[in-house]
Amino acid sequence: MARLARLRVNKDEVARFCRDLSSVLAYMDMLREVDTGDVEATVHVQALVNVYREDAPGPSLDVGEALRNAPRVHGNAFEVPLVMDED
Amino acid sequence: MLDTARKFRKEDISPLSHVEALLDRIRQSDLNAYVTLNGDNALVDAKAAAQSIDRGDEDLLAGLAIAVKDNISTRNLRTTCSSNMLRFFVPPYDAHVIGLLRERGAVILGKTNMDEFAMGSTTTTSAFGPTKNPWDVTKTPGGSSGGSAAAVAAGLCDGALGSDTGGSVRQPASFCGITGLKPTYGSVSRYGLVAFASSLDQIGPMGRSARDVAVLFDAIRGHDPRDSTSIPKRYGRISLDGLDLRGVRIGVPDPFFSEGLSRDVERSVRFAIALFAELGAETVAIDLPHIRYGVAVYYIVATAEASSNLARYDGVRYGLRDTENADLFEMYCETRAQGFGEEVKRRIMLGTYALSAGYYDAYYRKASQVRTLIAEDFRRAFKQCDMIAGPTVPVTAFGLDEMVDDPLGVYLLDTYTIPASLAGIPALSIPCGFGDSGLPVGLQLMAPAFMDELILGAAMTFQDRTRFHEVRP
Repeated sequence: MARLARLRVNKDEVARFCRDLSSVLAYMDMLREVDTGDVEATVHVQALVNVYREDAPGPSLDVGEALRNAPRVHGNAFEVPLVMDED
Repeated sequence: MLDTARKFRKEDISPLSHVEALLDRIRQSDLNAYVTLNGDNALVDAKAAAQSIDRGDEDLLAGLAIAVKDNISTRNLRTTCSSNMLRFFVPPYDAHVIGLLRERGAVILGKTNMDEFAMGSTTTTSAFGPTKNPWDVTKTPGGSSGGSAAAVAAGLCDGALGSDTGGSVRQPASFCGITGLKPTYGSVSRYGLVAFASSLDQIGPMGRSARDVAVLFDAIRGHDPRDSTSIPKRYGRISLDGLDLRGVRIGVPDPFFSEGLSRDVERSVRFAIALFAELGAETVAIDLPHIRYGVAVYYIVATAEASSNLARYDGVRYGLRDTENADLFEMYCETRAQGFGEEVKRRIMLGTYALSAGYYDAYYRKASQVRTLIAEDFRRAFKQCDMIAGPTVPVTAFGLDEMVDDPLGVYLLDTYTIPASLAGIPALSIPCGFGDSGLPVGLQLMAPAFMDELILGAAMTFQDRTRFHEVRP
């Protein structure tokens, strides 16, 4: 699960999280007793349908502002580790 | 807050000296309520407000000093979510609510401490250390908006903004003896609120009285096209007259007075309900049969949404980055291991599990269905009553270190605040007494969607007849 969530966890953490998550999941098992046959799932609490806007350009952040908080910058771009192998 | 606004006009004090005095008090305080102060910029804004008031500006908010929870974006003012992940993050834009407050001349005093990414009920999961409860510094102020609540209670601001996902405004309001509102979902824009669980998150006002909260709420609510879950609705001004309680039907739900409720909390809450009856309200016993599943539903839905929302902290565009690793996958894992604290990791894992193939139907889908049943419980109940009253939290504030090894125990404290969040309805907490240890007790009022003014009005009337909200630590 940690791998799926992109988290490195050490041995101690694995033991602790397993214990905590097991007790929380055991508690959540109470939901099994509820008959939810054809009940609709809530995706949104107010009766809103899809909200669209005109596909028109508007003002947005300038490049400098957008990059200001970036940990690594290369020219006008975010710098990331190699995504594909070199060869 | 409204007294201060009046004093500005009578020229007893100016916003500048007022803000200066507050900044001094904050610097001398050992509550750790603030993560970052707006310092010199707050003084510049206070000076501008002073000039505006001199020219006849009648706006109640002009020159008032507002504390802002540190998960609400403030342009050029560090916004950390009390996390190492965002320790150095300086937003390039203001949240919608901040823009609205600035337009009205309010002064942003600083950013308040919170549980990391708003995940917690104690303000002890902050990367900047815990905030202390002004009533007893060995106790938690509650959370996750604990810094905002403590700042209001200790007089370290005029009013504050918090955010509430499952009780994060109401629970600390209860523990610190102040008034806090979780508005109807969709009435306050989430633009610029760092996302935790998007279907539940709402920014909420916190103050020393229901009138203070109403004035702040009036300023921040309204439609914003930049938040697609914001409701396109026009709102009138909120009355500060209080509600005539004669003939108002107040629902009292049995499940809110069951096992787990401390006797001292129950005593104060029963007293408050009796006072409403004395003022002419009619009390009605109601049942909310699915409420008992609220905590289970919430911790599936909220963690699932959080695991998805927090995927954005990948070390690329902003926030912390582990620079030791040349491998992309390792960089992600290491960055997130270093940037997130334990509770955030725990919730990301729980949410990832609830959304993963093979478990989605059993957890996320099932929880979303039971969520519908909880909302329907409220709809049925509001045919019998106009508002619902009960305790905000089953207990008063507990020791700062008391529950660190018991995550499930902390989750269960949200039992009474979670249902309104799941149903998207407005709910507020007001002080209604003191427990055996002398710590504040909160009364929670809930109303149908968009009836925020009804519970604010009832709270004003209650506060006209009581003094709990005036007692200071």
